[in-house]
Amino acid sequence: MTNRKKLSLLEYILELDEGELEENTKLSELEGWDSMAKISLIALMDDEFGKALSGEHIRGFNTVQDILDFMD
Amino acid sequence: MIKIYFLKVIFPKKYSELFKLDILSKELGICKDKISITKDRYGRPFLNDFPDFYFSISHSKDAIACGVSDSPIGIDIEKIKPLKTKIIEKFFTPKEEAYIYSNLEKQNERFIEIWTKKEAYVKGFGKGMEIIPFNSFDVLDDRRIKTEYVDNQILSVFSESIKNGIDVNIVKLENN
Repeated sequence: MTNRKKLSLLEYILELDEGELEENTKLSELEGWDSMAKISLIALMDDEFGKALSGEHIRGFNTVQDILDFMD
Repeated sequence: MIKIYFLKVIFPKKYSELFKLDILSKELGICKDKISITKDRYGRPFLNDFPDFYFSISHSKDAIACGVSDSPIGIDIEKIKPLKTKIIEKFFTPKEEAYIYSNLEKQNERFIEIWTKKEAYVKGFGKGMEIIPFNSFDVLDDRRIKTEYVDNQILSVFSESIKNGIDVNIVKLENN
């Protein structure tokens, strides 16, 4: 999966427009990075990437790039 | 009594910390710099100097709510938005799922209703959804949870005292 496609999936979760999200964006600065986005991310990781995302993983994410790295 | 302070504001995430301190300062009659917040073993916030005072804060995309009470409390607020089928499928119970999909016109607000009830529940217990998986409990008939509509937002409050008929007062504040 391309980086653009991954960003697009995250933009959907975070309720952002296409192309709005950048790799170095800090998650804490995003209004949409709330508990619903985090649960949606758990579902996304399971469905699209076959990965189990824990609360510990989520707490370790600081930037969008950290999530992209987990997707690999 | 349970009191919920509600404020519509731009950038609620940025303002929520200050809002919380404003409310606690007003409620307790102390200066903001005297407020010392720690967390109990379940991760719930509490004030060392006021062991019988409980609070919970939540924000949506354009509003903040802060609940205060003399018993443990959990609150959650969300703006009505399109439902997320994956969340319903993976994190809601079959009964909750049936409730949402049984009314096509109201399914988005029913989704947010269930979501906020679950969030309020786990915040009230303070254990978070890692310890209490969202699909392990049903909130539809839980009499400890009260849900209100406030300015196009859905606000849910969890407290053991709600089932005993305690009042939940919502105080709408103006943004000055």
